[in-house]
Amino acid sequence: MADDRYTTKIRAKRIELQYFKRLHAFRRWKLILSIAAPLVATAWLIAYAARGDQRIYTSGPLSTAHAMFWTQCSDCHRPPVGDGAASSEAPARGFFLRVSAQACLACHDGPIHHEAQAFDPTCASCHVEHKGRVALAALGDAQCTQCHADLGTKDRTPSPFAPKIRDFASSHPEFKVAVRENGAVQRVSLDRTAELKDTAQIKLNHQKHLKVGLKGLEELRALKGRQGILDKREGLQLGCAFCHQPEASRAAMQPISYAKHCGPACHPLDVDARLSDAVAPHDTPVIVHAYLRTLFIEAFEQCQALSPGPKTGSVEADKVKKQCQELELARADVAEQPRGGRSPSGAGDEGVTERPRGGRLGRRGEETETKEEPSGDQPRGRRLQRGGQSADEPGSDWPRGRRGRGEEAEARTAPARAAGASALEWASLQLPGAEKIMFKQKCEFCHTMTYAADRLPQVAPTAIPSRWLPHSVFDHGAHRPLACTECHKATMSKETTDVLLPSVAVCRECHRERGGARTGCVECHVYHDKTRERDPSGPFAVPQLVKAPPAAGGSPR
Amino acid sequence: MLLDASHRRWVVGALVVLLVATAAYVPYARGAMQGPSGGSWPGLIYGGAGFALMVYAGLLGARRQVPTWRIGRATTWMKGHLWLGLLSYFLILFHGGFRWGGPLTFALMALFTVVILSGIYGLVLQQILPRMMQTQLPLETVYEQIDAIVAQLRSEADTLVAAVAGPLPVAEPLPAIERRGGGGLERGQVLARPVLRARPTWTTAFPESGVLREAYVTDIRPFLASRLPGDGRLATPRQGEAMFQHLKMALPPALGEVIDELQAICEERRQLAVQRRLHHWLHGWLLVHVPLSMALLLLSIVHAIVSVRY
Repeated sequence: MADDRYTTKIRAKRIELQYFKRLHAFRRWKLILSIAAPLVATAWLIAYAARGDQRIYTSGPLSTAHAMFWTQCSDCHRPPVGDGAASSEAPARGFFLRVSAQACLACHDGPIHHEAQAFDPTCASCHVEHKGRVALAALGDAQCTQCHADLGTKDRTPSPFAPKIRDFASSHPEFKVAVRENGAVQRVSLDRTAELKDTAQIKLNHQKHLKVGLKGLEELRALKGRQGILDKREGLQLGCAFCHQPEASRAAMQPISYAKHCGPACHPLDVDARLSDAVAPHDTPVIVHAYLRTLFIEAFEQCQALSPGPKTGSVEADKVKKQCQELELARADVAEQPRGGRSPSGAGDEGVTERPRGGRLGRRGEETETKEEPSGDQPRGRRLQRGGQSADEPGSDWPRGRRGRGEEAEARTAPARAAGASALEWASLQLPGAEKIMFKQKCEFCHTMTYAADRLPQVAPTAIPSRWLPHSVFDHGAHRPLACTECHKATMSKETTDVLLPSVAVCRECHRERGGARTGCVECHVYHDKTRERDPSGPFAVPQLVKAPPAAGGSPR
Repeated sequence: MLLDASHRRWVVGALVVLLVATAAYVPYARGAMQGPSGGSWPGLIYGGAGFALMVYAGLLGARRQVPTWRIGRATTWMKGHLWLGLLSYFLILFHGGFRWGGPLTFALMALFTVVILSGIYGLVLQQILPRMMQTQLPLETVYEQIDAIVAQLRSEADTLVAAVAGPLPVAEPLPAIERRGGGGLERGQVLARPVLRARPTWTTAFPESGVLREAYVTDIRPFLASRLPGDGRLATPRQGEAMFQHLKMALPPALGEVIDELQAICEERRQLAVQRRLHHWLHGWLLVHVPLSMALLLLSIVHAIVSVRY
């Protein structure tokens, strides 16, 4: 439709020559917005500044532990002052405000990793903040391998640790467990089987304990409940967790305890079949000796005090009378016989020796459980003073009776001396047999005992390690999906000396690159030596931390 | 700006720098114990380089304010703006280790992303729309003068129709458009349409021109308003063509030239409307790109100062 007479030149006459000198709406809006946008940005900055809030300048969210400090950069970004400045960090002055180690140490303690470490990194070189809600202690392997890939020491002496560890998968050495022998602790690699042994001094056959259908488990379950007892098709089986119970944190295991895991239900310390209620304390031979002596003296006195005649009708009295008859101490029956009765090692032993070594499961119920506390907590233990010297007193004879303070007590009870002397005499006759059974059959069943003439036997001190791998931490709770025996080959172990810790190869089955569990150093190792940490009582009051004003003059300490 | 062969050196240069920066970034990122960080030395180098390129790209606006300064050709500045500005985005990503960080840095990266995306959008449109306008809008004019020209077109049409159909009812006045004159016209002067220039003595009203007069007042004149009506018989080119064909058949052949002239005026008006719309497409992104660039530069300076301090 354009007409060649209506040319561009003609149409150009319509154009105002100075049109560009006035802002058209489009350009005007562009100008207005170009001014407004920076103004809005400035207003945003000013609004935060007016509130004293500097959080917009953070390069990223603070870690959860430091979230309360994120409105004031100067809480942490302040120059080190005075002697508190770490020697390895350059002093920040004037305009620049890097985080100093002093700022970190105001709240934290960062004990040295190792005395011989070649250099001491600053806090912020490892624990990098503003990375979001991450654990600051979750460091990459590079932080560790910067030293451990070629481990040197401050004084350039060879390190006792593996000198070249680049990662867990390829160069981590075999685990070394702490083995205590002859009072010294040695670190023995798990692959050095000749030197590797559990020196806990407790006789235990794991395989036997884990046998399906172990005798007595029905009674044990009735007594202790289902916890730790597995109901398998073939029968009941003692689970690992019956004895190895995790701590509240689930990371480590509680110590094994006779009272909780071995004692009254499975391995009771019953004294003599004739004294059906008597259970010896799980304690030192001295205490056990004193307990037995007191037990027999009391039994003798009880029987002496028993009135002769037919059954009284009282259950308790009849029980005592029957017990006295078994001990051959009942007056009606022994009037013509010399006192003394049978030794428990004689005919009376039958009831004991015929019993399986495992003891009598559930015969006495919960109320008969013995404690491992000192004998003072034992109801009968208090009476030890009456019959002889204190159990703690060294030089206690075996099997003779009263000495020391016991003699003074005897003097105060002169009217009863004659009867008392008879009781001691009888108890002394009973003790050798009873102690033989107790020490040889009961104690030695689990403990290593040493004997010497005219002395009480000695129990080798037990030393079940609470930490096998002292240079690492392990969280059993995190490994709950796995059966215990996947790592600890307890079903194969018959010897007490077997060390059932898994080797590094077992860990690597799961902890591996590409699809496996994490392999970072910090999964198992802690850098700072926590044993050197300072007093947990910190230097701040609540308002100081909540308000978080910049501390004048640096550290408030 | 059209992307043509003259951009090749800029593209190659930017790509080479990007490759070098990437080659340096990969080992740096893999080796950094806590991952790449803007505060590390490599991070600061990336940040500094990226910020410098951002400032350079931002200076294009200042360069345009002083076109007479001999500081490089405008096209060179524009090419640098395009390719170095794009390169700066990658350098800033390397600077932050592909993390957007805290509130300020997040705002910066969000602004930067919008600025870059709007720039790319504008660049793509500039490859398409000017060509489209060149072929489809032969009567294109200066965008800022569209309203003034529409007003003139209506005055020209009024003059034309009044010449053959007698005086027209007073039209609703157009919005006041200041025109100081210039070009070939004085203030208030209207360009004579070719048909009037060819037959200046043609001043007698035709008796049959009532149809034309009615069609003009009802349909054509509203179409020559500053804002196009959404409906009406001229709403689409096909409808307009039909209407003018109908007028030609209804009116004596002597008025055919007048109808053609009116149709030409309407066509020009339609093209101006299309030009306005395309102009908004072609330059509308600048309403985002430029203001946000200003805010971005301001906040970048604040970020640089605060980050270096802490």
